[in-house]
Amino acid sequence: MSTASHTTDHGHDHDHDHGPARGLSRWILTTNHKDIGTLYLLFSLAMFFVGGAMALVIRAELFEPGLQVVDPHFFNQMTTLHALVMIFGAVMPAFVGLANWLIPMMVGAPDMALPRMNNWSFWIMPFAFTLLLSTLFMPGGGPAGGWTLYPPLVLQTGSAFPFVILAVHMMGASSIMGAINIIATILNLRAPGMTLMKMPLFVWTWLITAFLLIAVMPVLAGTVTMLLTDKFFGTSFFNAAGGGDPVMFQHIFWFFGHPEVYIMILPAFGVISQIIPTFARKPLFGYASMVYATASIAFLSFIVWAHHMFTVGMPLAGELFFMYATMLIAVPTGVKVFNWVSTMWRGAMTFETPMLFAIAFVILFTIGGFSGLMLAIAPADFQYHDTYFVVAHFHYVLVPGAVFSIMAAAYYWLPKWTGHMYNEKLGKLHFWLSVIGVNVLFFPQHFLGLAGMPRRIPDYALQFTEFNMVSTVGAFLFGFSQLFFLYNVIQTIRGGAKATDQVWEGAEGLEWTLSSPPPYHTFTTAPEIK
Amino acid sequence: MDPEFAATVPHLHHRARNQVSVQAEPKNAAKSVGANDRAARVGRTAFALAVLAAVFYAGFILMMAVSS
Repeated sequence: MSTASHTTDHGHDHDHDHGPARGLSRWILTTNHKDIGTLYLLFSLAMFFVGGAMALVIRAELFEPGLQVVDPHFFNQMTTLHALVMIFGAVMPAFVGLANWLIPMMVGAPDMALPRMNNWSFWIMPFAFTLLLSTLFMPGGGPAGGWTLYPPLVLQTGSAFPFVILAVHMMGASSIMGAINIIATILNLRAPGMTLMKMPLFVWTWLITAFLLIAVMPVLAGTVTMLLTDKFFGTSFFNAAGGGDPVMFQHIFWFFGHPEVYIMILPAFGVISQIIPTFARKPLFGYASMVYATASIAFLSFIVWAHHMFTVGMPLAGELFFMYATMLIAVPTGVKVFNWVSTMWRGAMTFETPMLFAIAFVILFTIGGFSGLMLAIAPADFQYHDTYFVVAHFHYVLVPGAVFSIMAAAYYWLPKWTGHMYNEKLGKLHFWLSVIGVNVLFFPQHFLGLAGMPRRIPDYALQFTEFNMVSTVGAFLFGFSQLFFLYNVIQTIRGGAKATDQVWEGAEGLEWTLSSPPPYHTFTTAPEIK
Repeated sequence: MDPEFAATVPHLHHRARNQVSVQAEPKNAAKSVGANDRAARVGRTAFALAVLAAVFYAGFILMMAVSS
């Protein structure tokens, strides 16, 4: 972990500093990394509630067997759009927002390397999601074939189809531009003395994530372009009748899709690696091994895609390769969990809200990791595939994993960003309601899956009723407890107790040497790195 | 402000129309930096990564077109 510190006068020159513009144009035309970070985070929060509302529609319908709340076609649109909104609209933009706010401050750079492109990267997103969500009101409704967009099913989408494809392209373009910006910033704009192995773990995890994005988002864009030409221009990439192969789509999609999982979790690892040392008041255990483990996970993510397709059919050698390669990911992930626990070992720990979320992350993400290992076993996967066990698995990775890390990050850096301390009691209330809600919501889904309940169905057999009722109660508890988070964030932005520059007693790193809130422009003069 | 250190960040040199400024920097402040400066390196990095992304995009479509 970096031992860097900043000893200059907060890194900005008052003679040449100018504040932000006023009014709406500040936000539309801004090239400032802090403004753009704020825009990303607010957009992500809005999408979190939109996607969450869709999840509540799904869970309301599944409260009891039969069709009560929505018709099956609308239910399918909700499952599809919930995934697309949460992945591309909530989790990914939240991490890009954190990257925008923190990477320049952590490496001692004046801003992102390509500030104008940064503005463009963000402002594509609201248009992409307006386009995507507008499909709900089109003839035939929105996409309903699942977020994986498998042909030939997805080709049955009505008028919405080209709009969905264009929206996915726009999200991809935004992500690629964001990734180029992050790599260019980290490789070129580090302050003198900030060597790669002195960088905070959050910066390292984002550097590796950005390379993943550049490698796989164009693959997704290429795949959906081929879907578009199959539908409208008479090609047969995935049309068996024309000599194409629909299974090939699944291979290409998951070549994107599996690294995408790590795109959503590696920055979370970075966040947790910043927070645990602060509240354990110890340096991160095994910094170098954390870096190598992150790189190993990223590499392995490219060679495991077909574990999503064991039941599709492939040669035995293929099944064995993908099974063992998938299991191998447990090794670097285990290194990370070991290092986080070792950092806490005999530390002078305190349990403020960010630390509570970080500890919950370590425990609950590990549960998601273990169920992933169960799914990696090819013969067992034939039983689990397409059941609620898979839904439970990836929600444990993404909700108490990725989403909890984002909440931990928000509580951890909010005092730095706003200059005000958040309400700790409300933060803890939010944490406990969330951690209870998320387990009541997702843990019973393991049992449903093992008992054979398929995913993506609006109705189910009677024997699944009790666990579905429990799961729905958990969903509403988790969903509504997020209103405490929203209220706390708004109250902190509006005012509250003044935060100190260091904010947390054990916090280390360049961003904590700046004032709270930091000046509009930081590090226009190179900070001194020890 | 150190012009070389901040050379890659245009809004520190050119006041945007919507931004108020106590004192604007001269427009040529960044020109004193040589060809091998960080701005050029940023440009080269961004170009290389954009080419990489384009190759992945077009490469996959071409590969599928040839194989199907």
